[in-house]
Amino acid sequence: MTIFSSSIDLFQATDTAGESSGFEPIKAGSSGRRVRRIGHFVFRPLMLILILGLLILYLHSTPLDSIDRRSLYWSTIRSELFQQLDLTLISSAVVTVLAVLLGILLTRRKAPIANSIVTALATLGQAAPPVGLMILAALVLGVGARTAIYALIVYSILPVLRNTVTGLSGLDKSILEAARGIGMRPIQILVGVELPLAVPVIMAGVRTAIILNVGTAALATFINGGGLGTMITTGIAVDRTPIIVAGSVLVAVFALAMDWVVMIAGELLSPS
Amino acid sequence: MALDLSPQEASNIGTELQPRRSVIELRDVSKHYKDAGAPIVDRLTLSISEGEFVALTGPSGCGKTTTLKMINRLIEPSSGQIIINGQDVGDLPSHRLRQGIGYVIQNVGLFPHMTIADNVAAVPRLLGWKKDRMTPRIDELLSMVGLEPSIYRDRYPRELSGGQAQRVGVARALAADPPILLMDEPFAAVDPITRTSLQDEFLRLQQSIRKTIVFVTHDMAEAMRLADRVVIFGPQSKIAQVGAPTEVLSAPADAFVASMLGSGRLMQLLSCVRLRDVSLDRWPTLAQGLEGDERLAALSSAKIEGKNRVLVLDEAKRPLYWIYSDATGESSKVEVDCKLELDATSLRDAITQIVYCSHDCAVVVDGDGAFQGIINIQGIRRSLAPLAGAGTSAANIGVDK
Ligand SMILES: Nc1ncnc2c1ncn2[C@@H]1O[C@H](COP(=O)(O)OP(=O)(O)OP(=O)(O)O)[C@@H](O)[C@H]1O
Ligand SMILES: [Mg+2]
Repeated sequence: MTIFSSSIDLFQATDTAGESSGFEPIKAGSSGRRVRRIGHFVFRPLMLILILGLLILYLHSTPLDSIDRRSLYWSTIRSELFQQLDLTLISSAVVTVLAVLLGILLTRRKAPIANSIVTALATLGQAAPPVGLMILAALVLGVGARTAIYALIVYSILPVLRNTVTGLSGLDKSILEAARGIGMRPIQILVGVELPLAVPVIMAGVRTAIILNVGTAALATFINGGGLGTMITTGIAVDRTPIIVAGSVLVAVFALAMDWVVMIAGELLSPS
Repeated sequence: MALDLSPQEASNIGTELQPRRSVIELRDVSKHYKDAGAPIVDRLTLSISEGEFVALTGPSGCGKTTTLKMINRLIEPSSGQIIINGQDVGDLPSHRLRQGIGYVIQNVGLFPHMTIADNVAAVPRLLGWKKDRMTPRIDELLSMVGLEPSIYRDRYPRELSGGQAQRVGVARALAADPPILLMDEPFAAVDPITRTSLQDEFLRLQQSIRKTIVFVTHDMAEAMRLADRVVIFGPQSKIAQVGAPTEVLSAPADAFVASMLGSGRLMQLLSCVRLRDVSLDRWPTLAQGLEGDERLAALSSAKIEGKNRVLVLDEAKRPLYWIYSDATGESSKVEVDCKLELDATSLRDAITQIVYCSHDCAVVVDGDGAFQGIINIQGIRRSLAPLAGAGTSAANIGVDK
């Protein structure tokens, strides 16, 4: 049920399958799993702080000229960071709402054909290389952050859509029949039974989308969309290694930090 | 002492005799799917009265579940009419209809993301009950199905055993106190021993709640044990036989029904017939506190009947002990060691008890403990004779004539 689990595994190694099913028997092995997870929760920020510390050490031990400094001002970094955050969060939020709504529609009865068409389209968006997608979008819609966000949406809608469809259609039929049988209306079944039960799977998709967007948002700079990628392109343009190093490390740290936040959010949201 | 079971009377066993209002009526109901040729349910007509416990049974795939689901419109019939309390089920919005009918589904189907309490409260919540009414009701229901509320209320379904989950399924169906209960193999997913005890508990529960129940099972023995009336589906979606368990067991309509009943028929029959359904033997009794001459007189008149003892009763006619007379005219007290309850005891249980009983006969009492008569092996055999004769040879079901 985890699509693109490989891209998740890149960043961390917990088993998303077990985590997203939500139905595993509680007793055996779960305390061990919990300890391991808590370890993960604490280990990640420590590691990121360590990496940032190393970066600062490196920058301090390297002689920097005025061009370097201008790119490494905290105010510059901060505004790029916020741009990156904006790109990621807006695109991910829109993707979540869009894909979940679409997924709900596609899993209602009599929609299997629409389902395959939409999934095919979403797969197309996913398969296109992100840089190409960005530039294509800019050609059609003009440059800027807004266009970058559209491109990110097209690029990352598939995992949420597919997980929503999988999560909703993979539910135990007897549970849905029970819900119907005791007199719940379709909307009550959707809100009270289907969505809560599908949340872990949907969240796994959202997490994948956010991770895709965090990485891809670094490419927004190519179409004048801002973000942390700006540091890297600037560094390349003015041929300054420290800027390139700082930009790449910050992009990676930002991605890992976001993944960590999403992981914790998923843990808090999924049924106990 | 013969078991007087003409078909009409047999079908009244376990129900009161006055004619009762029909609650569920299926009129010429059929169901067929477009792609499949033969209908799944073929012109079924059945009338179920208030408080009646009807079991639908038959081989797998014969349309039992389909029939049940047509009653609460989870499946729409292709033709025919289904009427509940005088109203066509099609006239009501389907969710309203279903809120008024308890439904226990084939695979339990508890909501895994809700606690047991929330599962049980599902229907009351749909009906907009207030919390102060809901909470005591949940506890009441959990106790009713034998689950201690303080332990199970806040658990999740995955923390229950199969049998416990079944009980919660039943509690959920009963939550809003619907007059009608549809149950689809509610006890199928547990081991035979748990199943038997769930059945017993459910029978006891039904004694007090008196719902109109339609119960689907492919287990003939279960149908016979529980139901007032059994509907046996045959091949080609036709009803092979409808009748009270004793009626069906003693006189299967055809070879198909007989084969469905299998070889354990006599035992099932014995399980179905209760002591209240047979006529008991009388026995000389003596009121407590009577001494000397009256006691001797009672003993000697008993002797004339060929009986060497009398039963002493207290003022509420409850049996206390036997008094024996021996050759010298002396008498001795002996405890009553085998007492059976009229309504609760089946012939099968009676036989088991009598085998271990020191007097070769058991004393039968009613619900208040008052003496009703005695039963022994000869009496049971006599009451079975007419049943064995009906429709099948005695040897066939193992009765030695
Ligand atoms: N949607 C459907 N389309 C076509 N045929 C169906 C459909 N649903 C059920 N059937 C068929 O209807 C028949 C009766 O099904 P039903 O579920 O009523 O059987 P059942 O008597 O409850 O059996 P079991 O004891 O196995 O539960 C089966 O042969 C089944 O294949
Ligand atoms: Mg069935």
